[in-house]
Amino acid sequence: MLEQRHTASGEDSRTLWQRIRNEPRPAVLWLAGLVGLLLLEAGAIIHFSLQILSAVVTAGLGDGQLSIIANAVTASDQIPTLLSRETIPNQGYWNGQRWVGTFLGLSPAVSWATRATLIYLYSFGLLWWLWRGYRIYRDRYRQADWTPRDDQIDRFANHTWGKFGLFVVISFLIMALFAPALGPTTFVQNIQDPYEHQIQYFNDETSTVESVSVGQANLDASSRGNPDQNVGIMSYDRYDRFHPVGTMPLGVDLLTFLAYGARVSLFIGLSSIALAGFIATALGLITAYYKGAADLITVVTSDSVQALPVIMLAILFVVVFQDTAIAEFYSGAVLLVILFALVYWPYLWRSIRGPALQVVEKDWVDAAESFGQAPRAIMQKHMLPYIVGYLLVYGSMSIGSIIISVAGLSYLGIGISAPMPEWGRAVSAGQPYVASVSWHITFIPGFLITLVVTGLNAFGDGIRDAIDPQSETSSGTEEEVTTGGTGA
Amino acid sequence: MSGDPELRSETPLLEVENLRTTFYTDKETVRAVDGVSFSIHRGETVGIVGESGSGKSVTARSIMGLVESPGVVEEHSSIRFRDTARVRTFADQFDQHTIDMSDDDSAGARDETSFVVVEDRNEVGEISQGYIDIAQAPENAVRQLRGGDIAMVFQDPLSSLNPVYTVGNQIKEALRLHQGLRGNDATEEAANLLEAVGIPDAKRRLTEYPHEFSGGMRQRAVIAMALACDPEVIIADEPTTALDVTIQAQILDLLDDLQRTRDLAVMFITHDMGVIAEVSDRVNVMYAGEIVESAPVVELFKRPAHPYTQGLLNSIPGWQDDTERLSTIEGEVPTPTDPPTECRFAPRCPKAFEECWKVHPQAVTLDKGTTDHRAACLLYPDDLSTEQAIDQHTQSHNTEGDS
Repeated sequence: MLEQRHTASGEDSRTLWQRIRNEPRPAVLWLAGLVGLLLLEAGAIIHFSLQILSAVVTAGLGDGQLSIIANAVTASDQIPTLLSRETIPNQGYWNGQRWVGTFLGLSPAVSWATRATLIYLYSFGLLWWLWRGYRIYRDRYRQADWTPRDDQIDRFANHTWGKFGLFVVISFLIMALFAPALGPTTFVQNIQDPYEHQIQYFNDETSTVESVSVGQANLDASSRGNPDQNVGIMSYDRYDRFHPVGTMPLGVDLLTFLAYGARVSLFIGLSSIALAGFIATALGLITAYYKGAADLITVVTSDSVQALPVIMLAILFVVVFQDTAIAEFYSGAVLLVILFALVYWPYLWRSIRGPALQVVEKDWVDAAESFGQAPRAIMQKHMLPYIVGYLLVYGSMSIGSIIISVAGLSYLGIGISAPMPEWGRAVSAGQPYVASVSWHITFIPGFLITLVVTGLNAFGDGIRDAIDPQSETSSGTEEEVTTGGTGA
Repeated sequence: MSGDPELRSETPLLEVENLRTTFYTDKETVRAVDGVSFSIHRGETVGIVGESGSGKSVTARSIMGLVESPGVVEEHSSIRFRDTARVRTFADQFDQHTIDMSDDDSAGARDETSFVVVEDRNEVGEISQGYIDIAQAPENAVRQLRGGDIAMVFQDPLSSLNPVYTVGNQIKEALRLHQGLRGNDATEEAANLLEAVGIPDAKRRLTEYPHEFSGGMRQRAVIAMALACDPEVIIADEPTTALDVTIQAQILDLLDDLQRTRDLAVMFITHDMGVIAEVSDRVNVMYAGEIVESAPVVELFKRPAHPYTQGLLNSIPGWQDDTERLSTIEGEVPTPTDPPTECRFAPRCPKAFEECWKVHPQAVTLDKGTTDHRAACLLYPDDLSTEQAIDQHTQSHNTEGDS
């Protein structure tokens, strides 16, 4: 294999396509595997794409003439999807002899566990397959034998703490992405409109199957800290519904609440960091390149912003914008995104300012200037690659503190408005019952927040060590010498 | 080393006159380049030699318009670039900043923003002589000159190539910018350039990263990048300092070759007298921001006039015959912070006398017979008595002060 590549490297102006045609087997196999994996989730993917399309069209054209897309969205529900509650249902009842309505007649607990396990297996499998694809490309098809990024990726792959962080972060992402399928029930049925939905259960006294509204069932399944009124971890309520991590004080399924809450946290965290990161990068490049007045103004502005107490500002912000249109989007999440972006860019900017000032002094920036390259292109091509790594490090760490802030605000009862789930609200709801049998209400969301924030920090540490060629790794000193000059 | 002086055109391609570049810091004002004048013709190599801190690199950066804050090129400095083709395009492009001195009626109306000067036109009215004053030109104009007209080769070939891009990528970046080449054309041309600077197997080399090149190869690649813009002037800022001696020789040969085939004007900066002797046609010796001696290369080595130049030559190993120890120049280059009122070399000068501390020497010809060998030292002109010489230095100093 290796020999092949060396003889081939003589005429190495071949395109990627030509290189694949020369040796098609690994590429074809990999692509077949990918298509297979994606087909399993075809329904969800098409449904999701159509939903986005319909949202875009709605935003662009208004509500008219949408029947085609609306129909398509409905139709796409019919496409079978492996990891959905339709394929592997967990809602059913015990009719005295056997389970009715669950997956293969298994108990709701096992049905749910099967689905949840499959979701995680599938997601990690897909990611592993993508990673494999990258390795195949790198080992067989890429023109360059080595690029500076390779070392960084290899260093990260040897970084246990960073990999733990990545694992936690990915698990969190999967939880948010698969929220509708992961919970034992859905947000609409269990939290949003519980009285609009009915479930069937087996009445022991009359030995008949009866119906009850979810709202009524929730009231009977509440966890209120006394042994008669508690649905704890891994237990059933009296309507044969399985609650993997128990219920909340009003009987809402905690896992469903947490899964949807993960979506909100993730949305706010990612969007505000993306926005703040964009502002920080633009300013970082400009202030490092032009220095002087631009730098001074930004320093003063960022100092002023950083001097503001975040939570106080957030409370003020939420109250001021209470009844405006912007507070309506996504139950107030968009408002928080804007707030956190405005508050967090100075921190990110300060973190990348040093590296940006460093890279602008490099000779290759001078060299680019000396052959007449425009400032914008110099910033993008010759400076940005050195800053992105730092941005990832500090960005991933800041997401953690944003998630904590959002939870803190919800704990105080502001920010994300009910009924939209938010982890902080679960912590707050369970607070009276911390020292009782219903400890799970506060403990589990609290633990998850800690875990996710730790994971994000670990991930950030991993990236930091990966992009720093001087950091200690198992990969010997020779590598350090060759990459020592990259400055990244 | 190249170019017959007799065949050269009368007007130089690049004229630097009274260049002053000052760095204003909170602590002090550093006059890094303090009234430097020299010129370069097509096909000529002008060497600038001096110790670290003598202002060589700042001179180069001033010409490129790359002096960064807190550095400022002072108002009366002038850097005239006399490429007729470029003057023509600039006269069109920066119409409002152009002064036409060719017709006598409107001559002399020079306002502060003008930087293109038309001096003469031929029979059909095309511009035949003129210059662009880089010291006065705005950033967007200077950027057009960079690369395409004046290119620079930096000292450290490893750090002047961006390690995250392939060598080909970086050469093609310059090609796209100046010759509008893209895709396969650019690759083709980049390979040609690498071949032109003597890198074998150029096509494959284009896809490699800088770290995969040896030191000499990297410097060749950097030179290829400079050539990619097809410049008229190349400023080489210590291009061989980071290389070992055999590679140095190869790179010098390469530069010589390229200069011949492309009729380049080269400004060569180094602290190595040996390299200067090898490459230059004319040498300027810099000390503390000033040119202390300027002469054709052979003349300079045969008859070094300024005590500083003599000191530099004496400190080359192997030039002294019987001494056991290498002679050196004691002390180090002072940082010029104030306008000069004395000879800046006096504290280190073995021949310093009382007046050296009172009179700032001007560049004068060595004696009545020579025209192109000048030194800024009170010992000269040779054929005058010391008192007369000092008088001459004082007078020219005063007249300059009046202007």
